[in-house]
Amino acid sequence: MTEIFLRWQQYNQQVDLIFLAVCLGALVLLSVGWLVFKTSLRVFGLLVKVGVSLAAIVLVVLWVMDWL
Amino acid sequence: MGYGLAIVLGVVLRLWLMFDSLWYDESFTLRLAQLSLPDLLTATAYDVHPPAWYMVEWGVIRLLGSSAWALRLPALLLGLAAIWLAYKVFSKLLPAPVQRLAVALVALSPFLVYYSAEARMYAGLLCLVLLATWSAISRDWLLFGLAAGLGLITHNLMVLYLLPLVLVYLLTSDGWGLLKASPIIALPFVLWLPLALNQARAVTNSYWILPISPGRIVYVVNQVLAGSWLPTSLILPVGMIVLILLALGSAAAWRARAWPVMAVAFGPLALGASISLIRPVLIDRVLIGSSPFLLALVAWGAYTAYQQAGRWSWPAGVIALAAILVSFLTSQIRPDYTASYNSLAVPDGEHCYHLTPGSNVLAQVYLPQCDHYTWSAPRKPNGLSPETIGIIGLDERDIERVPRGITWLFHTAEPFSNQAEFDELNRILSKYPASDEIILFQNEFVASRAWRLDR
Repeated sequence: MTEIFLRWQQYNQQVDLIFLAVCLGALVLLSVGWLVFKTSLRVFGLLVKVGVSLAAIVLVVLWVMDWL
Repeated sequence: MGYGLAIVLGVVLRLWLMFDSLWYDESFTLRLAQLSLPDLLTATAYDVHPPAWYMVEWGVIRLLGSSAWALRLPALLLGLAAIWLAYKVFSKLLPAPVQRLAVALVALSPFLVYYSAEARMYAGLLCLVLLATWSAISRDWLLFGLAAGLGLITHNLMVLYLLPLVLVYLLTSDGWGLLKASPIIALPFVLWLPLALNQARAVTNSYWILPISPGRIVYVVNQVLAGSWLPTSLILPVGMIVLILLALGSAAAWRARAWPVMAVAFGPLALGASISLIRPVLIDRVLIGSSPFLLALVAWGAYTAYQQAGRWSWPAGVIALAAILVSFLTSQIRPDYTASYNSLAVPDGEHCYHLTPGSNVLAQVYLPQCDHYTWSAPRKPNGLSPETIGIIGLDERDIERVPRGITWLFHTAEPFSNQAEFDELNRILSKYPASDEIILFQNEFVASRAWRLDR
């Protein structure tokens, strides 16, 4: 086992975990969206607007941070 | 306007990557294409891919020379043809408002842009899957047979697409046409089959592909949709947006009973993941034929979101796409090997000694002025087979048997490097006066290094 192999293996284990989390996060957001959508279109619309705005702000901030 | 702009930008991005340095896989394509046709067939029989793509490249380098752009030209043309085919297929299978967005995503996808400028068979696989889908929905059994049959001798993993494509044919055309197409599909494969079996016996393939897990499946889908070059901080938000759109699009396609789109988008993924339970095969590029359909579902999801949230859905979409594209444009996608090898300033007549066959194949592209040798033993259980090494003419010997004089020693440390390679490297470095280590290419997991030995 070389040092690079161990680092690579650890990296891939992290990738597995991160993407499982991404998938679960997406599922939770979708389920919440669906539940809310089914009960109130107006609240759902509001949630989407707030969510999308927040996502846009977070994306810009993270992107800028990545450049720094 | 935006649609036309996306296609023009897609073409420009593909052209922009055409002039990068060749990397190892492409240098192997070049090496095979330089052989005579009988040798090329024998060398591929002992390697892991069918011969069709190498035969195309064989013709190309004899017509246009062996520069990087010439080698990548077939992939570029097929990658551009794929945009047009995607347009034809989507105009039949998707609702009108989704069609243009889906084609724009195919034109701009970093994943598809990359493989449209790569001297490997993946653009061929992409184009043939789209052509087979198009011919199935147009009830053209002859074209369907040709596309599927050629696909099988372009990449062995075309088998993952056969069942979904047959489903598309049955859903949109009739069983009789499929029956007529079967011998055409089977013929090239039957001719290639003895050699394909030989490949399975001779080569321990895909040693570097990881076992399947739920996270890995999502990761591979995300790579197909967003490319592999996202900065770490963007993976989570972009991954989330893209997956939510994919889920929304899939739900919409399910409701609209768009089974052909669903079959080609998810069929190969499901089959690849199932096979990977026994033997790992699932990596992003295997799904290249599915990628236009997965992108179509993302476009469908974006349209659904737009219907629900109106103009508020645009910032997220535009920012996700901009993040993907800018990350792609600002990444060093292929290492600049031309500059690295030129920086060594190796004069004519010096010797190059490589600890792995791969290093030898790559360095021969950039250092044609030197004679190249590869360490002979012990054989790694992965990588090129002894037969292929023999046919492509890699000279294997111990360093003591390399003619005396200045010798450049090359080694690439990567996750699957054999410990014996490091032992031999240390033995050579302690035996001969050597320069300091010169880094040719380095990232977290790969370090390509050279030393100048005075022998």
